[in-house]
This record gives sequence, C-alpha cells and structure tokens, in this order.
Amino acid sequence: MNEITAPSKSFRIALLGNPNTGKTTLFNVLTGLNHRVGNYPGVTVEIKKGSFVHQSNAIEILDIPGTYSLAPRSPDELLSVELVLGLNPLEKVPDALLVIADASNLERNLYLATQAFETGLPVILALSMVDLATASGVKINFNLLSEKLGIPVVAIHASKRKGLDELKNAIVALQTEKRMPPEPVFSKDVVRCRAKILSLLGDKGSLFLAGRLLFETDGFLAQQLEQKLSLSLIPAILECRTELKTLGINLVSIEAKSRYAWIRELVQPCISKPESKVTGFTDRVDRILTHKVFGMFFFFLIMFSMFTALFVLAKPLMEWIGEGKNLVGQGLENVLPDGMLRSLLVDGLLEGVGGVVVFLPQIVILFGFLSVLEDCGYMARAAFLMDRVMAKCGLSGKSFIPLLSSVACAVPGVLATRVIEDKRDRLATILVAPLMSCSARLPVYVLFIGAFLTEGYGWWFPGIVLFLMYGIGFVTAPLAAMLFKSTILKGKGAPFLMELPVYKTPSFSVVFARVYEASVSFLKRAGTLIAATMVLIWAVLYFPYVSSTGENYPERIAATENKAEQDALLLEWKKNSFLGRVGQSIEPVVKPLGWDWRIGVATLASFPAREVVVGTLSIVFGLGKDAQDEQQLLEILQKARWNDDPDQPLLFNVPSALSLMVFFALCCQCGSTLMVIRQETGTWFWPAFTFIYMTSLAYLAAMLTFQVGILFL
Amino acid sequence: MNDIPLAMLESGEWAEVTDVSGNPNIVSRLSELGVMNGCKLCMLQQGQTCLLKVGESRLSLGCLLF
Repeated sequence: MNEITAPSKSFRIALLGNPNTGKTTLFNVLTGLNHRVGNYPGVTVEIKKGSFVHQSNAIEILDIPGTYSLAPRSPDELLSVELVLGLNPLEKVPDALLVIADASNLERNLYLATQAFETGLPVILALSMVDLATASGVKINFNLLSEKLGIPVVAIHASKRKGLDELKNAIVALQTEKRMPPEPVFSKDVVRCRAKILSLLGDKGSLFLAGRLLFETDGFLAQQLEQKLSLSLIPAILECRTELKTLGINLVSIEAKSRYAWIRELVQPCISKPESKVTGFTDRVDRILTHKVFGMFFFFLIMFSMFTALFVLAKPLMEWIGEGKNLVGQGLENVLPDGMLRSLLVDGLLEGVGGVVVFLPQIVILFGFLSVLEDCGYMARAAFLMDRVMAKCGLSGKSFIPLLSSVACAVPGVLATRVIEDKRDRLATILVAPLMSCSARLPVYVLFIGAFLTEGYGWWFPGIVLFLMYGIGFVTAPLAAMLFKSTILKGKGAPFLMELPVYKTPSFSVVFARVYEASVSFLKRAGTLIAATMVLIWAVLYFPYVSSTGENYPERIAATENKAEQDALLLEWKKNSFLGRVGQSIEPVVKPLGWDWRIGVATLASFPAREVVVGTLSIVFGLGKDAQDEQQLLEILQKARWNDDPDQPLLFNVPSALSLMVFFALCCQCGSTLMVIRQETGTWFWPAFTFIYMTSLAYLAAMLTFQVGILFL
Repeated sequence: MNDIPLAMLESGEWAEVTDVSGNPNIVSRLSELGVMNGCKLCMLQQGQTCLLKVGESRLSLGCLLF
C-alpha cells in the first residue's frame, strides 16, 4: 500500500456502520487503493486509514470494523470506540463522523447513528441500498429526514459511484459550517444520572461516554477507561445505577428501548412502507438456500463447483507462468557462465520462487470465489447451515468461515476468526485452521498423485485421491477442535448470533480489493521469506563443494562426459554437503515413513514454508541436472532408487507417496501461520503448541499410512 | 395470551416477545438488534439453529440460547 501523505491540516472523519451496509465499498471507492491498515498494539481489529482530495480539501478517513453498536464488550471493540471518541493517544480526535446506514433496514441501522449523535461530533448520514428499499416498496423522504435530524443525509450507491460528489461536498461543507446532530430522548431520570456522570468526566467526556458508563452493567468499559480518564468514577456510577433501579428502570434494556422509541418517532413521517408484507427476494431465495435438505444440497454443490473451478480455471494460467519461468531460466543459462552464480540464480532462486509464484492463479481464484460468496450474502447462510454441524464439535457456525478460508491460506483464515466473540471458540478455531489443506499443499498433492497414483488407474482416480487429501483436513480439523474444546478449552461457548444480510450483487471493488491484497501479500511472501529460504537451502546443498580429500565436484562434473559418472559424482557431492550430512543423520527418523534422507531433507527444508518443497525436491534430486519443469521432476521421482543405486528398489511406491502426502496434509510447515497465530493470541505458547501437536500428528499419521500401506499395497 | 419459549414457535408463525433473559451480554446484543420486549418476530426456520425475522433483519440464533 502507498504511504499516505496527507497534509497535517487534513480534515479527519471516522466511518461507522453496521456490517453489510456497503461500508467497505464506500471506503474503497472514496480512497481508491490509497489506504493502509493501521497497526495498534495488543488488538487484532482491522482499522483502515485512507485519504482523498476533494475541491483541494484533503480528507482523511478512518474506517472502523462494521458494528451494530458503539457499546464495547471486548478490547477490540473498545479500540474502535476509543478512536471514534478520540480517547486513543495514537490518533487525534476525528473532526466528524460519517455513518453509513442501510436504507432498506433504516430503523435498525439508525441505532448506531443515535449513539454517534451523542459523541459531540458533527455527523453525516449516508444511506446505502436505497435501490433495495425502493424495490421492496419503501419510500424515504431524504429531505425531511435531513431536516428533522438537522444534519446532511446523502443517498449513495457506492459501487455505481452515485451520490459520491454530494457526499464529498457535504464533508467539505462541514469544515465551515458545523451542523450538530440532535440528542436522542431518554427519560428524565436517565438524563439526570447521565448528566451527573458527564460532569465528573471533565473535558474528555461526552454524553455518549457518560451513557456508556451508566448503561454497561458488566463494568467492562468503566474498568478499561478508569486509568485513561484518571478519575475514580465507579462509586458515582454505582450510585446512579442503584437510583435508577429503585425507580424501576431496567439498565440492560433501557438504552435500546429508548433509542428505538426515539428512532420510530423520528422516522415515521419520513418513510412510507407498503401495507401488506411482501415476501422479498431474499426471503424467497432463503426458503431454498437455508432449507435443511435443499440448502445442504446447494451448499455442497457450491463447494464442489468452487473446488472444480479452482483446478480447471487455474491450470492453463499455471502452465503459462511455468513456461515463463522456464524461459527466464533458459535465458539466464545462455547469458551466465556455468558456475556458482548461475547455479544460485537458476537452481536456487528461480526454481524456488518460480515454483511458488505458479500458485498465484489459484490464490486469485480462491479469494475471488470466497469474496464473491461473502459479498453476495451467501457466506452467512453457509455459517447458518454449518452451525448444527459445528455445534457437535463444540464450535459455532461462525467458525465455519475461517475454516473455509483456510482452504485458501491459513493466514487469512486465522485473521477471519476475529468475528468469533467467544474467546475459547476463537482459540480452538485458530488452533485447527492450519489443518485445513491450504493452497500451498496443492503442489505436493498434484506432483505425487501425478507421479504415483495416475498411470494404470481410471481417469477418475486422481480426482478422488485429491478429494480425499482435502478430506483429511475437513475431518481432522473438527475432531481436533472437539478434542480441544473438551479438554484444554473447556467451557460453554457464546450462542451463535448472526445477521443474515439481504442478497445482493457482489461489489466489484470489494472483491477486487480483497483479491488484490491477498495476491500482493502472497507475492511479497514469495519474494522475501520463500526467496530467502530457497537461497539458504541452495547454499547448504552447494557447500562445501570440495570433498575432504580435496576433490572439486563442480569441476570434475564439468570435466567428464560420462552421464553415469556425472550422476555418481553429483550424489556424492549432495551427500557431502551440509544439508546432506544433516539429512543422513536424520534418515533413521524418517525411514519408518518410507522416506530416504533426500525426502527427509526436502521436508525439513520446507518447514519455514511448505510451498518450497517442490523446488527443494528439484534441487535435492536434480541439482545440476535440468529439472526445470514439473514433468521432468515427476519422471525423476518415478525412477529414483534408494541411494541412487540401480540395484536398490525404487524409492517411491504408493505407500511412501501417500505417507508423504499425509505428512504434508497434517504438518504445520508455515512460518507465516505461526507468526499470525502469535499476533492473534498475543503469546508464543499457542504457536508453539500448534507446531508441536500438528507435527507430531503428521509424523504418526504418515507412519501409520506407510506401515499399513505396505501390508496391503 | 400464553407465553411460550422461542423454540416452540413453528416455522412461519409470528409472535410478540414478552421477555428476553439470560446472559446480560447476549440480552443487550439482542436488544441492539431490535429483539426486546414488545417486538414482533417471525420464525423463518425452526430448529437447533433457528432463523428469525425481526423488523427488516434476519437473525440466526444458535441452539445454546434455549
């Protein structure tokens, strides 16, 4: 992302809205790709910052996550509220708030707006989904609404770029003319108590904050803010609460009741709804898509189409990238003289990084699919359908989306657990998400299924094996979650509570932004972590290139014409290299899995990022040979023998190929995943736990596969 | 009128909420979403995890609630 270079005098607005109101679309359309994710220590919410210039006025936007209310119940939600209220020392107080509300569900959406009205900041109301409201027969008098509220009300259609200029004009106009929102009405006793707390808050206080401290009976906000406000407010708050209770006021429900009553009175003259309840498009579609039988049928159909499309659509694109990589490789070989530099660039860097970049089309397609499903509203239905299944392993439907996203990559999968409020549920989901077969495992599956489980089997067989490999994750992850939830993470979870948004056409800008961000971070990873790993692996396999008896391997290989002699020298060189020596010492450990030291080395080297294994196998089995593409590697693997000795049996058979695939399916070979788990859990304990349990599980399962396999196959 | 638990409401039936009780956190979350005393809701899909229509919103509630 570009660094924001907004002038210091820029006007700052914070963007708030319920989930599924088109907030992200509006933010993307307003700021273009000129935004970045804010970083705040200790919290995991995604706060985005962006900017734009309108009529030579610089406007900075702070985007907080979609929320139904500004009442914080977790440290993450607290941050959003602090930012909006200007209580966070890292950010200045916003100059105004922009509340986006879904016009087709206006009353519910105005709840958040009424809280914004009490912050003491000017507010602009943007109404989205006006077309949906109109389609269901709802008519809204925007001018009257604006007049009654005393603030600008702008109808927008962000993806069609309608109403954006009016919105920008309204924002710019706020700089000169501050139009303050009205105060929602509460009963006089509440108003009196709130005023009392407000007077104690001093200059940092607002009506909203005073209200929060009064209404939040669990004391979370009061405890969190006590130090920041450097006031001992709690006795006064408790006193007010007792007073209200004796007056028969229920503190848990009074806020919602009063706000909704005020909203209803305000909105009534501005809105006309059809008399008879027409069953809308969403309800009609939901009758099928959320149906116990048909809904499940469509769910599996959608999942099946997604995975099929993933392979069918990505294949030609991956081949192009592979060919491009080969062309570059050949070009480098023609230009550079034979030697260490050429070996480093071609065999190490290009092979390794190229072998990873090949998977970009799949990342794009998978993220594209998932964002379309999310943005059109289907994902919430999938979570609803899966809630019953997930409940059996102690999780809720909310865990389903992170697990499904982990099929693309566990990193966004772990990030997606932020929607799960219950801490134990969230942690259990984080711990099992890396078990889902991610796109980085795909190359291993494709290579080994292609080499050992294709020829001599029916055309349908490879597909079934691939499906089963993915099935390992889909079965193991819930079982592991069940185990964790009944042991280390025991406890009753929060009930599943989720809004099902109306169906709508997915917004191109939202889908594009998500795919773009995922692709950029994937390529960055390939260019940094993976490139570094590949160079390191190349180096520990290249050095020392002179044996203890003083033989210089590269020179001797170049000097001989005899192919068999070249191969023998090459094997000796690899065995003598640093990695070769380590590999041979670990051979006893990997032998029960049916592997020799070379497979052991390739596996060991792929712990930082499992994508590198295909490249590492090329290096281990073919350094110096021309293992430039997958087909050649496949043939080399098929012909490989134990110790490269023609008299020894073939290295790979079906059980050892399966054992390798099972190992990769279950093992935690991904530095990025461990880093993101560290970031999300705030401790090194959980990434260490994940690493140990997954690696042990993978080892045992691979050993079982091989040992049982050789009995039957 | 007789009060019945939400789980007893059949698919397609409308009802008026007379009481929301339980964990204050959930009760206030529900009230923010418009589920509170006096509100009318329709059971769209009955079951362990049910689907409700409240005002213009569709809410899915997990079985642990009952």
